[in-house]
Amino acid sequence: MTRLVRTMSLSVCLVLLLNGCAKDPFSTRRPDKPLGNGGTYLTPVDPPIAVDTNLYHAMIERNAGHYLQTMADSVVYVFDYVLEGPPDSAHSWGIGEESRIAGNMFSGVSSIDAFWEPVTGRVDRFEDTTAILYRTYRISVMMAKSDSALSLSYRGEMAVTLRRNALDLWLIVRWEDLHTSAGSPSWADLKSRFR
Amino acid sequence: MLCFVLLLPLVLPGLIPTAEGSLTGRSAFSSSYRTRTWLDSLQIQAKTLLGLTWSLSQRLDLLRKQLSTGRDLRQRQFHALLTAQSPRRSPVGWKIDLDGDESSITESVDRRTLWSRFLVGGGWYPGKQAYVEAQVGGIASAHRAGAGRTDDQGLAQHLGLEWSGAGLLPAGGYLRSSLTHEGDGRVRIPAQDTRLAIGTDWAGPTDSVTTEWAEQWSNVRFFPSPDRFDVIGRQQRRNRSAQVQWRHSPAGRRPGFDHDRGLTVGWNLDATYGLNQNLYDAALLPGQTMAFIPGDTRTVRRAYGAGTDARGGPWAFSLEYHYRWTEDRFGEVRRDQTGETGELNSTMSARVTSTDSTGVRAIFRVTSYAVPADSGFFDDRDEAERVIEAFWWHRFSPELALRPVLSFQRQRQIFLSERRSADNNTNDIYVLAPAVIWNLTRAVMLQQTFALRAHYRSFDFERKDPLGRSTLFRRAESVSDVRIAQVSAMTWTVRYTYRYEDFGGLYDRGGWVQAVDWDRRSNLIDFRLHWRPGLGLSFEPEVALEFKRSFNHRREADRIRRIQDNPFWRRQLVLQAVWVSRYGYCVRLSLAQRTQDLGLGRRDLDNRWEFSLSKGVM
Repeated sequence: MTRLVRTMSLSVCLVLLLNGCAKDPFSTRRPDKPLGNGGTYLTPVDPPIAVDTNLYHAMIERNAGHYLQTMADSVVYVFDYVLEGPPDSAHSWGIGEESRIAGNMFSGVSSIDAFWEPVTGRVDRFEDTTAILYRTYRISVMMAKSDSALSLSYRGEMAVTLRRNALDLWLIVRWEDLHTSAGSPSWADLKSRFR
Repeated sequence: MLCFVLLLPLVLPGLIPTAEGSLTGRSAFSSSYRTRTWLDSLQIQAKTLLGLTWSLSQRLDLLRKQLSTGRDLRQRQFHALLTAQSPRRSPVGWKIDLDGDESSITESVDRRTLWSRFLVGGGWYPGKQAYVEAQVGGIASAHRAGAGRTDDQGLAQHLGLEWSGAGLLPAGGYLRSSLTHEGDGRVRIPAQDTRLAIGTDWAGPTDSVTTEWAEQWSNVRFFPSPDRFDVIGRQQRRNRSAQVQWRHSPAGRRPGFDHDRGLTVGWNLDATYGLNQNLYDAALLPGQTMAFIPGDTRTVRRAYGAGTDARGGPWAFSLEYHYRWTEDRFGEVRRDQTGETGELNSTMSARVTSTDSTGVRAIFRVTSYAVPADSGFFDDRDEAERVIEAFWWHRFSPELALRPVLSFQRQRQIFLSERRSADNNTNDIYVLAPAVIWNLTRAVMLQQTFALRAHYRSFDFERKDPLGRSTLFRRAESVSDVRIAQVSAMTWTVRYTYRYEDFGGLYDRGGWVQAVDWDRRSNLIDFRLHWRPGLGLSFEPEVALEFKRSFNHRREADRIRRIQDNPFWRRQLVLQAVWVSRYGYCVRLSLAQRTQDLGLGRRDLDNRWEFSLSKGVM
């Protein structure tokens, strides 16, 4: 009996403790009606949709949610080197760092303009459950900080490996970034600024 | 010279290795397209006649790549660490570390960083779980970029302390504690890193409590650009993590096997708390300017969880609730966001009869993000997920089993603000996936899997198109496997996959409308042989063929026409040979050729080869 009372009281304490910070896992809030045009996020049923549409629009719109939605939890971002930013002997990072950078980057710039196209002479590779897309890109950003109102340009080449997930949707699992010229910073340099 | 000769008899036994030691290493070269890579690593550990321990670890990565612009990129990363340590027999000992690192990138500009460090010191090792180590030494570095160069040097320190064991806490508790400090005293770019961790474990007859707490501070100065050595940046980091876990298992009710009744019975109650806090602060030193964006960020993650699990006879049940709270701050208040997640997770499974098992799994999760009203960077949004999955396993006989899986999943993404709410959508996914496994004989195994999946995606604010089909993504898949191991040294595997996909999607045309949709049929045959003729040799040839036909559904006036796209095919041949010697050396050669159709009679051919030699487990 004593044991039962003790167990019950422990359970009640636990419930009370959780009650203060609990959140209903069933309910969502009511949204506002959309203003103007529709959205831009497409179901990534093909690898190019994930990269050329969703990743592109997430960048332009500075939408961290959609940006991270293009990537798998196991994503690895690999780069050759960085010209600016804090030092790090590693040349890669995972979803945790990518998430932090996305938040920093989209809040640290006031506008982003991007353009990318297939690499000349390099063919996209499609397998049954994986695909590799090769793209050259140009990105222009306007920094948000009033004391450093800068417009900066980045260019380079990326090889994006995607994998089909359990829902048959394509997600980025490896994103390799390369400089294409010695003096010109690449996407890795842009991200590294916001590490 | 005389001194050296006199000291030689004393030094020599400290260098002659005994049979006690280990060697692991790998050297691999690969080539594909315009990229050549050489990875080389070696780890040696040896004990000498005097009982000294020597260890060497080395790694070299070389990469040469021709970029699409025709430029040549060469990268080299080299790191070596040599350690000598006195015998652990006595409570007082010494340790020497020699550390070297080189990293270089050559494009049109040659950038190179050389770094070396030596540390000499001693320690007190009173027991297996307690020690104090202190080392001091020197550190030097050289940075080069084209004609520019800067050298730097200073003192280096290392401090390590650990104190763990039972009996250090009341009521039979166990304590784990450690402190490490690394100091780099270079004049221009010094660095300090300190980590402190404390953990405890208590286990009583009915309750157990585990706690972990760790704090790390680092302060680093660095060159923000590898081409300029006149500007110096500073970064401060602070990380704090904490974890508390409590588990209550009523005496005699702990999940386990009841020998008297032949049942698994009992129940548990759990509660957890986790905290992870990161603070980053980066800036240039006062008076310096360059296109570097300083900033500070703060992220805090708190997680609370509670759960219970119970087992009784053939039944197993678990129910968990998790609450997570996150906060991200990006330097300015109006760029903050906080998140809250509630998650209910439950599973129930039962062994109905000796041949039938069944189970249900359900997850309900909602994450809500809140941002300041005037934030221009983030949006109030909700992400909801509901997953219900049921399975049933029937075993007709030891050779034949059937397992149908039925599941439903709903994902909702909701942006609250009018700026993004056009993206609000719901995904409903229904899956039926029966599988049959039939062990025809001891040597032949057949497996057939079907998967039927219907994925409905709808947007909250979409415009209906009279021409559009449903916004449904349908997929059917059949996978047939045959595995034959007629001879023990030879295994044949053939897999045939047929897939049908039919997608009717929505595109943004000033409001969501039906997209040009498509359907697709894929055929994939994969043939693989694994042959082990003996003497440590094995061969694994593989052939894969894929053929795909796609049809686009184009709009023409008041109808939709189905037009065949260019057929896609690819072929892949892989030849792999492995030889493992009786001493543990492994030689591996792999050749792969991949051909992909590009349409209009063009083909893309990719040859890849890789050779590696390794010893030990890497």
